[in-house]
Amino acid sequence: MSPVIGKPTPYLDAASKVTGRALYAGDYSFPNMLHVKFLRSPHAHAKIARIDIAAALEHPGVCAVATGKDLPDAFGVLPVSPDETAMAVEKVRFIGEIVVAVAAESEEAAVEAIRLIEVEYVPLRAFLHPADALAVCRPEDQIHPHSRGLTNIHKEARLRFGEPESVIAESPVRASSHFSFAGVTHAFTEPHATVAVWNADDTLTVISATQVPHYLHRTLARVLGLPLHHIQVKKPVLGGGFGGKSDPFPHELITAYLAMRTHRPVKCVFSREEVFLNNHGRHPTEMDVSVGCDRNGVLTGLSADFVIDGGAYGSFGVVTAYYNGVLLQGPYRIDQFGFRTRRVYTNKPQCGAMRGHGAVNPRYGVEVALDMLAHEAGIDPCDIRDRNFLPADTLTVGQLRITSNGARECLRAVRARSGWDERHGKLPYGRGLGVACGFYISGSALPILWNRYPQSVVHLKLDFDGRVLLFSGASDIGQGSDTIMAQIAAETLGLPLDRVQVESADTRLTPVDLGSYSSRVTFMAGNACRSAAEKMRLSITEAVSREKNLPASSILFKDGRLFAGEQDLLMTWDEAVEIALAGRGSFVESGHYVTPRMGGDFKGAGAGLSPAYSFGAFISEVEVDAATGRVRVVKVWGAHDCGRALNPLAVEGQIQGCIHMGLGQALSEELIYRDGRILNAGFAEYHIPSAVDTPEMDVILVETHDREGPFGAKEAGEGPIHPVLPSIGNAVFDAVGIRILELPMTPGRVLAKLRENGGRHD
Amino acid sequence: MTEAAYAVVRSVEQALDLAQSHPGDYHYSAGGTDLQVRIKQELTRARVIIDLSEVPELRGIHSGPAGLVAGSMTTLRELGSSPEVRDWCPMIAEAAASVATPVVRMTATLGGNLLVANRCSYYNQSAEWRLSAGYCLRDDGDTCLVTGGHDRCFSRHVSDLAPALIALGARVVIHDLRSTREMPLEDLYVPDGLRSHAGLGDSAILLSVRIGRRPGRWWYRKLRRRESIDYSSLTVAGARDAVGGLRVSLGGVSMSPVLLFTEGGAGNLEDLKRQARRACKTVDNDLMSLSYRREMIDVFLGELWHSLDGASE
Repeated sequence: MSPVIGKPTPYLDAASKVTGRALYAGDYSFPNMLHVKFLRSPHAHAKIARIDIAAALEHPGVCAVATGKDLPDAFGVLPVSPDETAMAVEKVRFIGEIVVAVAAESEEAAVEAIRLIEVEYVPLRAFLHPADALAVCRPEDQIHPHSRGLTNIHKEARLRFGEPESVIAESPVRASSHFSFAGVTHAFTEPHATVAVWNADDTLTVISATQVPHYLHRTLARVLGLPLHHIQVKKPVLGGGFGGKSDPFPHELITAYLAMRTHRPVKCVFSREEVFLNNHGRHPTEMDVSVGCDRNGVLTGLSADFVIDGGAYGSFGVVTAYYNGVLLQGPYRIDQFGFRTRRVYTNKPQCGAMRGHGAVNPRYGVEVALDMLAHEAGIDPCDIRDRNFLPADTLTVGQLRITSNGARECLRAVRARSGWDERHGKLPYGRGLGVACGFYISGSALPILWNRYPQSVVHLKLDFDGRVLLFSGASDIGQGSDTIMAQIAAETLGLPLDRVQVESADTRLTPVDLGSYSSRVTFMAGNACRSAAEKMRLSITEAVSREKNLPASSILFKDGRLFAGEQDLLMTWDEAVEIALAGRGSFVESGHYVTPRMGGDFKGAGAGLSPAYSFGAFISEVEVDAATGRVRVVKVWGAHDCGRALNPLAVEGQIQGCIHMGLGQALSEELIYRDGRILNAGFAEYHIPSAVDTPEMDVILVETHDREGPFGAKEAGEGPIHPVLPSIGNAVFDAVGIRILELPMTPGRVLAKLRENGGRHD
Repeated sequence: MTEAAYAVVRSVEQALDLAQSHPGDYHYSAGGTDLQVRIKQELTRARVIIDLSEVPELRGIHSGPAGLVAGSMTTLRELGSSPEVRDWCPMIAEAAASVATPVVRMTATLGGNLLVANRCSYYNQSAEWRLSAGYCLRDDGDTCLVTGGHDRCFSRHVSDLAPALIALGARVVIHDLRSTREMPLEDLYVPDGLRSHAGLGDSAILLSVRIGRRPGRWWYRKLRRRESIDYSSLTVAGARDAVGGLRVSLGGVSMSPVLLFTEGGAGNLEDLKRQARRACKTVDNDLMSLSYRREMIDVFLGELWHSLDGASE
């Protein structure tokens, strides 16, 4: 059988994307459509004293103007922290927050009307730095009244097993350091866009660039006061998310509300600057970490303390606070383990989920600290890691259930391919190699919504034309999930890929999938798909078995045909379909996925739990110019245990993308704010690496055939990013003997470190 | 009351006529790669755009007894790949190739780059941003948002071709309603962020650039965060002339390109650095830190000096 799984497969929508035929949210147009533009706060923290929209309402072309009091109900992606409203109600909490929305016949009319609106503010004390947010303040200054005590701390997450601090203090080899990380943003190609249509039957359709149609569906119902069954959310072709489109957003609610109010379609497309103001990017982080090991490099304990700067609202922040710490329980075995994360509110655009979610910065700190231990103990950095890996099929100290585990295989692969043993520590001054490892979840075992539903449901429909129509709520955000699910269905049914068609992410048609975040889709929607496909195969098998009087167990599906035993061609797929549909016509099979029960029963035990974890190891080679401080990454070797590469083209692409994104955060990306105002809200000033800056990449796929993943597959979308940054940091140490403790490692910071180090280090 | 207009002209005379009839309310458009962004950000309210792309006198590269001459509408790509330019002085090709990206260089022009508007991280922002932050001295306000002062605009000159060509002693040919004249390229610029190209004169058009003599050894480097796309945070170009003199020009760190000059064989590196420190009015209006850029001036000058040390050729 020519395989469908494991074959490099261009995405189903690839041709339509590259020829410009694909319709993104911003491409949709409807008759009588209005355009919405926003008036945004110029203050970081201020009470709204007065809004005068009279002149705007009079402006030619304006159909409706909305303010905060029109949509006062609070929401948030996490049920535990619904702290934002569609527009600012009593006060504004960051520069750029939406205060007023205008729907007009043209974009120009809307922009002109916005400029006619007068808003009077009474400035409040603005909290711009985490240190200020940690401190006690006056109640009237607090950003949110629900914050802990009289501070601006949003959430404190902690876990502790054993006595890590004293164990570390007594260890023969110790390392500790403070790390600082600037905020970065997803920088996806497609800006946010939403089109809302109020239908003639008084239902609402919202077409939006979202990673989470289901959460948007629920939020629209709640905030607009509409029944769930009167709302349809469609995710069209989407140009990148990476966590930046994984919340229900103010602009989506406003656009839908204006459609409801005017009974006309309303369209909203963000400028690139608005995308930056929307943020939801990685939390700027201050981190203290201590680790200890014995003389053989075996880790004795790990203790970490984080302050993460959450910006004005919660988003996924509570989860982020936990992920900062819990995802340090692997890939190494650590029995004495503790962390505390404090997420603070500040008056800046909020941070949220971003590729690698909460574990990227901590991974950097731990991998650099591990390198410090190795250096002090005189152990090779690859060796020290190899000595500490968790085995397969084990529990971490916090009872995270590890099943398949390819960490060691990944490390050995990159070690060999990079010539590590011949070159590490032996390259000329200015040139170096660095290694780092990581691991990540394949979706969260516990969903953020507590209910009795599965985490993913897939329906497969078979009809007389032999087409298998796959219905899934899963959101293809450019990571190729539609293609993966079609591959799974095709493989299970022995079909060529073109027999399977995918209808996805339309809440009117498709069963619920929770969304594309935390790398859950291949594993969870993939399993649901496999389950549905197996039921369909069984149903067809039973019909054919009865018809041909053959034992069901002998019937095989391959290459679009059915066989009795290996060789005996029985019939074509279409003939089998006719038999299966005889008497009853088209039928649908339903598959679903629920994570098996797992985890401890202490508070916070659920955070970081996953039905499977990916593992990886990366080695980077860098060149450092000691005169200018400039770091250039020459080559990256990356090995990632994805369980099974259902689509090797997709997995390679994800690893390459992770390398690029990790490179950017390590070297050149940072959101720069002055007095709460972003200075670099565009791609000329926000420095994602260009093609010329991107190194050669040697990508290795490791397959450990997870027993619970669909065809053995685990995640590959986020896990590969974690080891990239520290492998670069550690390479700089090999090259010029300095520890990079602050990211991005701009040339100025590197130069300062070199000077601090007294120049050349041997 | 002028209506917005976009005019494609066929001759220099036509362009000047149109400019003269809309004083202060027009822009010449060359490649448009800077102008279009400025219009979108509402940094300019000029209503008449005079497109020079169809004016034949402004094109062409040729070399002869007068030296190397390049028309102002020569694209950066043409400049970078021209055999004559590479033969005459590869530094020009290198400087051209260091601007923006290959796609931009297909449209962006020599003249446009020499006359690119000065930049500042508080000025080159969208209309909404500037309204929110408060307009600066160069915009509709009266205070420089970088220094807090009221007298001076420190927006940076960011042309990469300017320092390269100034180091080569290039001269420019300018045509206005009264005359055609030639002058040193550096005289085009004024160290004032508010009127940085005032040397050009009202309604004048830059016709061409001429480099009279082949240079001796040269050195060029551009400081930026990435190896593509970014504007200059510092550009240093240096060339030895026929009598051993050294001309060094710095871009990106002051309101106009800075020219440092030593007579044949004289001077030393410390002197050059001192000259630079005095001449460069560098403030914190770039995303790369001020202290780092100042440090790199010294580092680049050091490398330039050691590279161009020794007798002239």
